[in-house]
Order: sequence, then C-alpha cells, then structure tokens
Amino acid sequence: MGEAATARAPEFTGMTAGERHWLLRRLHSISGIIPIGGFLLFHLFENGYVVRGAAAWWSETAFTRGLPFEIVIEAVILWIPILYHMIYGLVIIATSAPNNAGYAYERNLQYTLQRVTGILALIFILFHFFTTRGWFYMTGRETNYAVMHAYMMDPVIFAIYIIGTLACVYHLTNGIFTFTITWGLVGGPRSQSLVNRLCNALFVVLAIVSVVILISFRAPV
Amino acid sequence: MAETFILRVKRQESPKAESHWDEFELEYKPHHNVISMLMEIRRNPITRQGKRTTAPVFDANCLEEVCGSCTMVINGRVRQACSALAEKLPNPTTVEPMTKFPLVRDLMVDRSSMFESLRRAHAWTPIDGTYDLGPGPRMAPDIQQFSYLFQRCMTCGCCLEACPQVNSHSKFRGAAIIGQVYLHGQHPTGKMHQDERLAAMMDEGGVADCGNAQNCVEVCPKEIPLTTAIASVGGQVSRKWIRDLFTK
Ligand code: HEM
Repeated sequence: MGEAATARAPEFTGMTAGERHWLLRRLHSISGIIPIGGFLLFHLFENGYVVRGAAAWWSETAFTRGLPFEIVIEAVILWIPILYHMIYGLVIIATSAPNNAGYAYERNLQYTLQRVTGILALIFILFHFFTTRGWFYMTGRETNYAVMHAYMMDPVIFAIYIIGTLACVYHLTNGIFTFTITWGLVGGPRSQSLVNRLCNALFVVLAIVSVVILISFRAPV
Repeated sequence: MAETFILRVKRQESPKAESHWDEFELEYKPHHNVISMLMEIRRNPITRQGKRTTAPVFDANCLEEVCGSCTMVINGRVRQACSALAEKLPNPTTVEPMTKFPLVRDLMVDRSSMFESLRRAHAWTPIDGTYDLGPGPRMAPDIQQFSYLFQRCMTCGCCLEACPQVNSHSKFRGAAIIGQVYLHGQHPTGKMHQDERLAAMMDEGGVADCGNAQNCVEVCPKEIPLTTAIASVGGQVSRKWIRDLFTK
C-alpha cells in the first residue's frame, strides 16, 4: 500500500489457464481442417481413380505407398492430429447436452449431427485403419484391389463403409461452416446462412462421390 | 364456471426438495398472461383436485418484457411469462423454472451467474476519472444503430437456457456475455479496454466453448444478433492471440 505503481516491461510468465484452454480449442479447430479435412479430400481424390478400374487405382495410388520416412510422415500429418482431434473431440462431446426436442431448429440439429458423426467417424476411422494400414503393418499383407473388393462385397462391411464415409464427409462439411464462425471469418446471419447452404451442397457432392467410389470397388477385377 | 384455462405448474419447495406438478384451473380470460394467472393462483392456491397448497413462488417485475425477471420455460420453450398471453397459449399450458440456473423455489431461479460473467469480462465502458475527461470520441451512426441492438439485452437468460453447450457439466457462460463484450468493443471509449475483455473471453467458459447450435439467436426475445457477436468476438480473440504470440 502507498507504493507508487512503476511501469515495467512484461515478463514471460508462461501460459495462463485461459491461454492453455484457448490453445487446446484452437488446435482442435485447425486440426479438423489442416490436416484432417485436407487429407479426407485427398483420400477421396486418390481413391476416385477406382472408377477407372482396378489397375488405374493401384498405379495412381502407388506414390502413397512406400513414401520415404513413411511412418514419420503418417504420424505427423495424420495420426497425431487425428488422435488429438478425436480425444479432445470426446472431451467436447462430454460437455454437451443436446436439446433438439425442445428447440427443433436446423442449426441445433446440425450441432447434434456434428457430435454424432464425430463418434461414428471415430469408430469408422479406427476400423478402417486396422483393417487396411494396420493389418499391413502387422502382417505385411498389402491392401490391394482384391482385398478391398472382398470387403465391399461383404454386406456388413459395405454398410459400415457407407455409414462411416458419409459420417466423415458430413462432419467435415458442417465443420467447414462452423470453422468460418470459430475464426470470425463469416459474421452476419445472411452470410452465415449462405455459407451453411454452400457447405450442405458440398456435402451432397462429396456424399455422391464417396458412394460411387465404394460401389466401384464392387466391380470384379 | 365459464370457459376455463388449465395451468400446470412445476413445484419445488427448496433447491434440494423433490419436484412435483400442481394443476390449477382458472376462468379463461383472453387478456390473461402467465404472470397474471400465477397472481390469481397466488390469491387462492387451490389445485384442480381441490387441494389447498402454498402460493407458487415466481419472479416478475416490469410486466412488459423489458426486465427479464419472469423468464420461465413455458410449454417446453424458454420465454418471458408476462408476454405469454393466454389467447395464444395451448390449453393446458405447462410452466417450469429455467434449468440452467440454481433453483430458489418453484419458478424462481438465481441468475447471478450472468452478472458474475459481466463482472469477470469487464463488460462495461469506464468513463469516470478523477478529473473531467472531456467529451469522448464520436461514433458513426450506423455503428450506434447496430450497437443499440445489443443494448437491449436484459440478462434474462433465454440464450443460456436454450443452449445445449450450457449445462451442469460444461463451464460455457453462454451468448449474452459475448454480446456485451462485442457491444463495448464497438464503442470508441470502450474499445480502449477491449483487450481485458478479450482475455476473459479466452478463458474456459468463454467464446471458444460455443458449439454453434445457434439456439441463442432463435430464442432471444430482443432479437439480438448474438451469433454475429460470437463470430466477431471469436475473430477478435483469435487476432489478439496471434498478435500476442508474435509480439509478447
Ligand atoms: C474425418 C475425420 C474428421 C474431420 C475431417 C473432422 C473435422 C472437423 C472440423 C473441420 C470441425 C470444425 C471445427 C470448428 O468448428 O472450428 C470439427 C469439429 C468437431 N469434431 Fe471433428 N473431424 C473429424 C473427426 C472427428 C472425430 C473422430 C471426433 C471425435 C469423436 C470429432 C469431434 C468433433 C467435435 C466434437 C467437433 C465440434 C467442436 C466444437 O463445436 O467446438 N471429429 N471436426
């Protein structure tokens, strides 16, 4: 008391609890777009070659098999961000209390769908990883056309792929919309509703692309 | 009795007591609203089944939808009871307290968490000094007009009640406070302290915890563009954060 305040240059005091919370949230938001969203789009693109037949698909996707430092690249651009997004996503889901019955608005439905598709995506991504890449790492069996074809001919696995892929695609397109709000890129109600509709349209396009790709794997070699 | 109106009221004697429903039957008057009906019940608290009970406890003040104190959940949707007119309500109608605030008794809740949010976020514009600071900078009329929308906030709690991200297992403090942070950041004098408010918005419970369900803007009785404020404040905190990362 009584001491005059003296102006001092700020000292580095580490992160405050608020800054740490903010960082975790922002990493969750960014990781959904870069790299996970970007990878999902690339993954649909590379597998899209399957519509040109088994041979085209196998040769066009060759470069993603046998990359130098493959494990490092996959871990840094894929598995660490995805694991982070999944785990923190579950933390966020645990703090939500959907109320769609009482407040049946379109955005509120999308809010709940974002969470439901997140959980479906989590189950599907783990399943998809272990039955393709994971299996390869453990047994050395390549996931070639014959393997994917056999999966897609199995009605249960085919259904899992349809549901899982649509969930991922919905989660991404709706997430692109909420991302623009999170970062303050799209503000007013009119522009938000426009971006929301564009993202819904993107969902329809990507959903058709995904289903066409999955069905194409059912063509015999 | 002529035509009647049935009001089902959720009752709870104390924060820890069990809740139950009481049904009251009143004479139907088209100009009744939920508060005037509750006042009538209070004068003679006898249920439809003929049982004498205690007078339902509720908050109400202005009776013209500007104070926010009579906010309740009416037929499952949050709104002000004073502007819920009998002629526009289904019969019977249910009346419950808000669920996102600590219950005091019956329909009365304690909304002090919203005032605590205003305090934490410095959601005011300091204009008093130890000497006359003179007139403040001028404000463009269009910004004045847009800001006015946010000045209509009456801290009623509708936006928190309808928000799926505001609940007992989440720390999110809701949309109202984000609207007020936006408002004071628009004011040329208020802007000078915006960094303090943004720092509070960074904390757990601040703008990052919004899940974009956007129910707030649907239920706000004052039609405040809350989602515009959420996007803007989200952007302001992001920019401050990135600026601080490189300059602090
Ligand atoms: C295909 C893989 C995934 C992609 C492309 C993806 C992408 C995104 C994007 C872009 C967002 C929006 C971020 C924002 O609003 O700022 C988001 C949000 C979210 N994601 Fe994912 N995600 C994926 C998987 C998952 C998984 C497996 C979970 C966990 C169960 C999950 C849980 C969530 C949750 C809860 C949100 C909402 C966050 C909020 O409202 O703040 N996501 N995701």
